[in-house]
Amino acid sequence: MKALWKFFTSLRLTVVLLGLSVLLIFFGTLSQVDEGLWRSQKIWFESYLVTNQHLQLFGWKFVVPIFPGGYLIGFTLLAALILAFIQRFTWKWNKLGVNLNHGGVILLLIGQLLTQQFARESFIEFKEGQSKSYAEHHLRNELAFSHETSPGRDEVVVVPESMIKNGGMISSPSLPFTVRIKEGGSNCQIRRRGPAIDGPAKATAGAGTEVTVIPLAESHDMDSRNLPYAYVEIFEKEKSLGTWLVTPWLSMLGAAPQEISVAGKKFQVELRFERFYQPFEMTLLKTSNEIYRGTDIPKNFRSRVRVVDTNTREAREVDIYMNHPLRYAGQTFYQARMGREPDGERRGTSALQVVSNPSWLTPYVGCYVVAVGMYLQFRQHLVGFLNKRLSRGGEKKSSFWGSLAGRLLEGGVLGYLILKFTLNLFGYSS
Amino acid sequence: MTRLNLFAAVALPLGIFSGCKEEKIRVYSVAQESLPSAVAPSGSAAATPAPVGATAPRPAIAYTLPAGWEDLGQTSMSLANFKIKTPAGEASVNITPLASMAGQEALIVNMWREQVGQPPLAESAIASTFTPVAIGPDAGQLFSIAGMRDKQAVRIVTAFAHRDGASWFYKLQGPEAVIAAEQPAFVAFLKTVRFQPAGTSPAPATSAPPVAAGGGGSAPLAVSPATPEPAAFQWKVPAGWQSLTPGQMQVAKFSVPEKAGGKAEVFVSVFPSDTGGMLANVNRWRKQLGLEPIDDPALKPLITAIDGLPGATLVELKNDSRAIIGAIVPRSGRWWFYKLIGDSAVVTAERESLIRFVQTAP
Repeated sequence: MKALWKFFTSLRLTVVLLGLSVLLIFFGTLSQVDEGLWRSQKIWFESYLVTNQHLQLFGWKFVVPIFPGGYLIGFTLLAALILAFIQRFTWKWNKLGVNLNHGGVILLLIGQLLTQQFARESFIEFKEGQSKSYAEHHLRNELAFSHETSPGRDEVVVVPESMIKNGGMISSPSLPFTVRIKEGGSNCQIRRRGPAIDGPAKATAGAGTEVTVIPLAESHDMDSRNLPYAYVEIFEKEKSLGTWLVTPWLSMLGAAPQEISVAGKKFQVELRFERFYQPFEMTLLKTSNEIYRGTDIPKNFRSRVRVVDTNTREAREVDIYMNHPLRYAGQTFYQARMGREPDGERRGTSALQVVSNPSWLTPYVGCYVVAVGMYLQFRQHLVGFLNKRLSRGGEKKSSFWGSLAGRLLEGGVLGYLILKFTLNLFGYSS
Repeated sequence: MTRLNLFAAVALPLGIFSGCKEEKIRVYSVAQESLPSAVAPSGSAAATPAPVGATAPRPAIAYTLPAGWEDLGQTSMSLANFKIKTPAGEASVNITPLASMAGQEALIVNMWREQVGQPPLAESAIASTFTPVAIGPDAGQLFSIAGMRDKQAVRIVTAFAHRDGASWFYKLQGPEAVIAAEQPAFVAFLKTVRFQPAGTSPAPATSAPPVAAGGGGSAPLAVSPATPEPAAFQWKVPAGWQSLTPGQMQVAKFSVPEKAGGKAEVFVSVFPSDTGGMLANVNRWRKQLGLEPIDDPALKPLITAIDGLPGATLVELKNDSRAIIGAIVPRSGRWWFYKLIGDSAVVTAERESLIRFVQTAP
């Protein structure tokens, strides 16, 4: 126990972990060349252990056989910092700077952990005149079963994509049937099925009887999203009711919703982009889409939206444009994409990025705490240094010079901050 | 507090925290989605735009069914479906209206060829596979593709015509022997097709295209393979380039200034997919220059990025006195293909003009 304690509270461990963090960022960055941003994040940063990764740097190919992942480094670093902090913590004024520095770094790490757990990015994509009360995840999908519970309202049972595994069984107390995933894939195209050419359809009911799925390799490209598919067999107790094909392609291509009748209830089934329902409805009223003449550089991308609170029916109209996001209901809405062709299908469409991060303030507070800690530490050392350098005539004089230097420093810092704040207040941000 | 307790106090919350992102089945209640309501843009007198995702009314057609054809009715993907049962086997016919695919005939033919395991045909060879056919009041084209599937000889006979901004496909498919016997009845059937007069416009959005657009998936709103009309182009045509009538597969065509008797032309095409990827296209262009196909590692040194166009690639090929500079540019879910082909000296002289032309938004 003592050895373990010593290991975790040693400065050496922290330095090694910081070094590993630098390497992790370097490898993770290299990995983006082949794996793309999202997959690199998963492999290197959202994992405990990374194994057998092929990387290349300026054409030199090499393999990283094993490396600690972001979670392992992050959690160990956080634990080491907290334990070292507890071990070395002493309540003295001259230790305040060091203590604040440690506290600030711990806060930064905790902030990152909270962001990792609770932050969410999604998109609302709509056309002028269209209203939406949900945002959609840009990567993840979900299997949704919905049925009408009262006029105008649906109960929706949503199965996350991570649970859709070949051969897997899915059941829920809210569903009067069980679902077997017969076959699935992370990316596909579909085309019309030729009955005499494609052989028997894998789906026995729904739109899947008319199309053939062409499985594709998972795309790691940042500009496109994978469109998965699954053949799901529905069982009422032991009896098979048929096999349906589910894929986002079907709704994207305008196919009618697929229905399953079980125990007198009609369920609609779809594999769709993961949805996040909002306590408001947003309507895209108008898009403005200007580029600098003769170039492809955006000048003004602007979406005018109407936001109506679902409960209070309070309505407001706002413009969302570059560097002017809308902050509403604890989320931030940024102008992300725009349909730009003069006469194309996507003209008049806009996509807003919706960012929700309950711990967004933590890094700011962490940085302020570290800044104050560093200032106190620096001031303390400067005063000590000046006292030593300038003392010629005894104790009294030396404390005078040290005190003067400290006050000048504080006056300078405070003056700068006040000046900066005042300038910012009047719009002189630079 | 002992050290063990301290360890527990630190490690436990971290461990619990790290595992608390487990995903579960969720159940919630939501208001039913109604068709998007059309809202007049604020402060604008513009006409109310059609809502996204609204299901347009399906067009109606009438026809006279040949003997032995069984009408299976409409489905979510097709306007009409028929089954033909013969002692030699079963064939099927379906009618599908889609967003206009005019100018993308090669894509259509090659998609059908892929279904029966046939290699794609070169653009120049596509037109020769078509025979004119009457589809009701329209002049359509018919092509036939034979191949093998599950060790069985199969054939697809497709007729298509473009009308009112949509492309109508009539597809007869099945075992070779059945199709050979049924093709005359199919051609006669096409003549009987009658469209309901004005008031019901074709609804391409309600039917799936033969092959969905976008390799590796694409943006949800980018599934229409509609080709823009030349009049809609806003690009800056370089000085000296003469606009010519584009061919079947092209949206624009230009001749460039001659140089020492040498000539070259620029072709622009748009497709809803990358038509097989960079390598397939580069090998197609190499073939046009009489060069041998190359593999993936040999491709990389040949291609370069184009400034200001993320994802766009430029390839330069040369064989003696002939050269091609090709550019593939993904733009909003469609792939734009630019090809400058001709005598080497002219192609080299026009290289920068082509790049500037490619860089301007069409």
